[in-house]
Amino acid sequence: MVGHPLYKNIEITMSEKNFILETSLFKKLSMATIIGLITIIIGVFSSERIWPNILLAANYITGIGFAGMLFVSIHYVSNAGWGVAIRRIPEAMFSAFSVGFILMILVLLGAHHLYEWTHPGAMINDPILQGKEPWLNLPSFIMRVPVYFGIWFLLGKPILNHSRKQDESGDLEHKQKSIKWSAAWLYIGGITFIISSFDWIMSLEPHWYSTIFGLYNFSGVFNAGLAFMIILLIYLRRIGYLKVLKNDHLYELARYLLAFTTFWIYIWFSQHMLIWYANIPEETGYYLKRHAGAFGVLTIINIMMNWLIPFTILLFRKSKRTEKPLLIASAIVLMGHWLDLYLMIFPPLIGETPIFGLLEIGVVIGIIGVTLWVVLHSLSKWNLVPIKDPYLDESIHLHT
Amino acid sequence: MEKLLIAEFQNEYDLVDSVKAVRAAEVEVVDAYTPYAVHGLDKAMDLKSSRLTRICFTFGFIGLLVGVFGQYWVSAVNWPINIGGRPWNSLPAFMPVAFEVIILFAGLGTVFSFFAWRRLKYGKPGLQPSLRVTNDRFYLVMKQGQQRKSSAPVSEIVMAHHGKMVEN
Repeated sequence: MVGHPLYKNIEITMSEKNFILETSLFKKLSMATIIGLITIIIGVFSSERIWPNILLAANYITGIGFAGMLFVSIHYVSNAGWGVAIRRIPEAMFSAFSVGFILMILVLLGAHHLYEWTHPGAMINDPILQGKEPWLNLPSFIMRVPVYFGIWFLLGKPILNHSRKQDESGDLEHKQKSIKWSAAWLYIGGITFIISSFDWIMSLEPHWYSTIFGLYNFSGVFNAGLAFMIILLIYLRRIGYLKVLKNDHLYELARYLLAFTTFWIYIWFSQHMLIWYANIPEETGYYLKRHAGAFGVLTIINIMMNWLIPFTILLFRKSKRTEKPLLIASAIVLMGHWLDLYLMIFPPLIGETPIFGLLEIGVVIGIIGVTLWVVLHSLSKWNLVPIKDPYLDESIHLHT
Repeated sequence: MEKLLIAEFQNEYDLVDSVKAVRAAEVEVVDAYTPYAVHGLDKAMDLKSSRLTRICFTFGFIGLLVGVFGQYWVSAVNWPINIGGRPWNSLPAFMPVAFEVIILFAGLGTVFSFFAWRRLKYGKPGLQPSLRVTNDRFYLVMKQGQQRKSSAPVSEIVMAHHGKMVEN
């Protein structure tokens, strides 16, 4: 079978260039990053509103890294072959964790501005907060941040290392070990992600709780990660890299995205409906804030951006295989994920009217710049295609 | 019944190549039988995408209407019951049931449409051209049509792709 004409792909993979981050692009991304940094520095000294912005940025960027590693792990554990040719892109997304970690440390500095439960005065007169005190106290909260990132890093790094070592030796052992690490990542990483969502976002309103909240956050994060991947892949192909990328790969990713936008609305609706139906005052407060006035309009826009519009676009086979509708749907999902996090984080902190000012714009520019910068930089360090993976053949000849 | 030509292949690649060659020689391909799904075969055979998806969507949409308006009629029009002071038309509460009805209608509707469309019923004998095609080999069933004189006979094309002609 090896001699069959379908299996003459050695030339294809050998002609694959390594990605080089060009100076002009590097300058643009650095500029964007610096704009974000300056905004944060100005904001720290002038406005309370910078803290939720930093928290949003930290969660957004950590989410990109998490989604990338999750994608890789799912593929190892399910022994899937189709994604091997494009695996280096989600692997590169792993580097976003480092930026998320730095931003999260910044958030710790401003914890007093964000989290009600950090104020001893609020704790004393509140039996509910006193009950949650063993978990929600500042020392353990600070300690848990490096623990989460440490777990994600220590479990994720071996997967990346094995993948890169395999490029040199072609040893099958690396793949088998990666499968074991991936299983650990999926299990432990998934649980820590859910707990971290409870910590960082849900505890903004310490009286309110929802057991599905972590899963809700995860569904948005994975959507955003997939959309990021699709845009990056199309971009790389357009500027002349990654010739092995076929529309069939994009089709598979778009199907992922279609499924997970549906998953997002499923989880969103599950959380909403149970709270609406039970109608318990301590739970409904969360939605009363978000469904009234201008935030109510944003909630409807959120549903449209994260589910209705991408779902409708991606429902058709043709739009899943064509660049332009895919780019539109992915861009909408990426913006929608920002709005989703905005609606999770901002309402309890900024009163009844949503604000989108220069601070938000500056931080968004910073998010785009620094995420693309770390991901593209990490992408340029290794082969763009895992050249000695045993499933590469299958992936290059993907047919859907 | 018109006599069918059946060719047997050892692997999927030969089958796909042979389908392309045979179609290029203007021989009509009736069907291909494989032990598992072969990638690229649908493209080579130029199969149209199934129209069942539209039927599925139609039934799903009917399910949505039945699910929502059925519950609305029951709980707001015909027999309103006050449950914990909630409005009679509690749309969010109807959604899970409407969702299930969509799936039920779409699933059953598609299956039975397919049965009706293909005239399938319980106990209907199978329509294989030969029992041989259920083997663990790759079979290509063709119909001898108006062949161009210049092209080689079917058996030669098949032989060129490591296959052999078999009797019914």
